[in-house]
Amino acid sequence: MEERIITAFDNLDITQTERLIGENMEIKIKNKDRRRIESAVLEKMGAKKERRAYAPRKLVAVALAAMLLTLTITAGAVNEWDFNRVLPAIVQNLFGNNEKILDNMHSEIKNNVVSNTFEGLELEITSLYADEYSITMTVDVVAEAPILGQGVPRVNLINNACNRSVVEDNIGMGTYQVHSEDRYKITIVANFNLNDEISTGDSFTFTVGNFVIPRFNHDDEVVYTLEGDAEIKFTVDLLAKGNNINAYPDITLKNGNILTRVVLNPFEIRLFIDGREDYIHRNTAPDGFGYGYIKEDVLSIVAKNGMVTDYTALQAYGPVIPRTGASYWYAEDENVTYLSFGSSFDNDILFDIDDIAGIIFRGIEIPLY
Amino acid sequence: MLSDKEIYSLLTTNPEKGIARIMNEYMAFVYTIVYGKLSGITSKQEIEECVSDVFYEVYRTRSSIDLEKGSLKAYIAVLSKRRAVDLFRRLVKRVGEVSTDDLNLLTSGENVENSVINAETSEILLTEIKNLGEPDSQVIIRKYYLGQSTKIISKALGLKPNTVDKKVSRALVKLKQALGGAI
Repeated sequence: MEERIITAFDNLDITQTERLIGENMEIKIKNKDRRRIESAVLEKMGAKKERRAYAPRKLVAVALAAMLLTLTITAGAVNEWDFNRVLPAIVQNLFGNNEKILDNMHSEIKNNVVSNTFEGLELEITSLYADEYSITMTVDVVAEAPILGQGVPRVNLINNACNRSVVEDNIGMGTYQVHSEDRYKITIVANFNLNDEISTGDSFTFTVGNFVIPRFNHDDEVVYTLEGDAEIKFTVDLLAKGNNINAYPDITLKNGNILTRVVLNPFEIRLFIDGREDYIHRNTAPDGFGYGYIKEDVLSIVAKNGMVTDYTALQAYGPVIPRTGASYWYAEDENVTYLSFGSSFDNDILFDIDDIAGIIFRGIEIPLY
Repeated sequence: MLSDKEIYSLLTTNPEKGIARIMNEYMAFVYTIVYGKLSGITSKQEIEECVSDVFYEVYRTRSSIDLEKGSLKAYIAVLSKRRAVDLFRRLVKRVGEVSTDDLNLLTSGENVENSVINAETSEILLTEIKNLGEPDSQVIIRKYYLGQSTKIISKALGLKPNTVDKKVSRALVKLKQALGGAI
């Protein structure tokens, strides 16, 4: 009977197979095996000269839909009390088909503006990449006159224009950063964590809502709001070569914790760990919340030239909600899906991925190349 | 996730990108089918080679894919089965490479020619398997279509291994009764 069932199954046509197969029946396939098979297929197609040999490193699976988008805000000279004169400004999208994507722009003066003068201002999205859990956008704000202020300039997304939910109350509040000695140009790296996992083929649409330039007093900010129904859309391609490296080490650490994945991008390294209780501890609610904090854990980055640099874990993500600028996080529960090293809190950390040979975490070396 | 039409469109307009997308989407599925058929009787390298053959064939036969006949997944499943069965038969012909025990357990092979399973009989079988209800039908599909072990099935369905085995034997009895002499 068994043999005959198998024989029948071996000879099903497409229609019959359609009726038989369901979802989520597949077994897991190791990433390194996947890459080797992909390489073999490409070779057979004549798209690749040499088959990829097996290597212990487990990298790739990269997400980057890099695109270049320039929003140019043209405005006349304005003085400190005259920001409204920039209305309505022409915002021109230089990406793709050059269609105008934003029709109106107005600046909104929040609290007490100290002073500033812009001859012109340009926003340029110079890179955009994503992994399964977040998108990161780099925006250059270039002005013809010095941009005065201090603190953390930021770019926000418009909530309801984003077709994927962005994590918690940071919706529309993409963060951070980068001070610059060059006051004519500020580079802002905005990282948006996503509630939903994204995967290859997903498209992501959002609108840049505004950007904010803080003043000398953090309570004083200039908020530029870009209004319009224009959307920036990109399609996630996890196979594309980009700025992220994913490694799948599947290494058992001390205390039974398993390091399952490493994501390296220029701004942070994330370590995904199963069995997390060792990594986060619950404070006894000093202000009514349960606070989680991470034990001191140090990650060493090994450069190809042999240099070793240590970093201390700065954040824990997952059902843990980071509090902006703080070193503690209140948590819905104690599960941490990953530890972050580097992170956007420290603008000086910028990894050159090409120079990274591997990492050492808890004494275990994980080659990335 | 892209729809079948979108993937097919990509496959025809930009075959390399299309096949990359298909591999990303269906690699584990193809691997599961091929592995289920060949696991234990050949090397991992040969299994991987067979999986890559499947995708190459998708690429090569892209112009003949007809989404009216069924989904892309079903098309790929059929190709996977056929390539795996082909390899299985080749292995059988290599003297000593496959033991008699393996043949009995894993079936098909040379026995295919002797087993006249026509389309009508397959239809009855499919209907009866669906009539088993869940999770029994899925247990049978996983065990005999995907060649998954009891351990894998029990883990996937959250059942105890001996429960899976019991379900299999009960389902076989039911199928035998329902099918009578048809199979």
